[in-house]
Amino acid sequence: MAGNTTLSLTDKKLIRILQENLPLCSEPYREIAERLGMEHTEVIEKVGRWVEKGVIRRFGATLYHQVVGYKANCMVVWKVDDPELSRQKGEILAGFPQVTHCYRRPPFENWPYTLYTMIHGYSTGEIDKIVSEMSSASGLTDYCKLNSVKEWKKTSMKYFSEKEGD
Amino acid sequence: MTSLDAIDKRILGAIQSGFPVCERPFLKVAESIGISEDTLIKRIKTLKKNRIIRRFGAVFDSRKLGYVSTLVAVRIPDAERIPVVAAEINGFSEVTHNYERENRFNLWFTLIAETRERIEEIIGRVESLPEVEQVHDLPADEVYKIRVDFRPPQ
Repeated sequence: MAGNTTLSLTDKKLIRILQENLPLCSEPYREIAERLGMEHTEVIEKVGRWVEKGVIRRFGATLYHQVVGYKANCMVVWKVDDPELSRQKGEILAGFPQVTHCYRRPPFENWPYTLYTMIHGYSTGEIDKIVSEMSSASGLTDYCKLNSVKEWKKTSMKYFSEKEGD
Repeated sequence: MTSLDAIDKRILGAIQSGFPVCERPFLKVAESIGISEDTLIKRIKTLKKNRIIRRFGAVFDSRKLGYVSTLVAVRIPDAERIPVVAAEINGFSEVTHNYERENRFNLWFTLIAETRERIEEIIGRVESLPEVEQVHDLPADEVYKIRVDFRPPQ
């Protein structure tokens, strides 16, 4: 188990269903409740709480790539000279609406970059413009752009899969 | 691809996030876009059948479920061997994203696993591939932003 003691066996079963597909019927949470031997209201309360607490990050339909239109993504990595300024600089970069993810990661040999930002769905020209704006706003001038050339895999993680037992 | 009419587009715009958690969630969405509950459910079924909607459910926050994650940078000196290495890496169910990028580190993948040990085991297996010269495990130590990328269809 993933070091989480607050999830019951029923919670995990509920997660397994929710991460696949919601029943497409008038009362989907009732159908799930019946499958799990729970009360309708209990399922609604639990799922509602997970949404509220951010345990569920997004709830709804995921579309096929061809529909949304797959566009290259760009990962831009930034060097921050003073580690004390990481958070401040990270928050400036994260503040750009085009940035979907922003993390701090450890540096390694010949790789001084520690702030990682992801930009999705823009053309190369647009990305160049966004990145130079990010550089001016943050004062970070040492960075490296890594455009995606090919997507080899993109899937949703399946948590608490049956094969692991409980 | 099957063409989408105005109602389909309204539906897709309304159901990609924030799906209601109440007794009659489809009714609530249907009312917000001015169609009947029955029409909404039928249309969603058709959109799934026609391969517009891939999945209709929840995306969980891995950290909040107690899972650990990392980003891994890989250098494969002979770029022609990337497909072979990518296929090996993709064989692990814990690998969620895997992108080839323009850099001396030319393959970058994300891992979500139940334990740090499992992450290290997978990374060890990647390191042992003959095509691979360098592997760097880069777990995030701070998160400033995560947003699930979605756009309503054009």
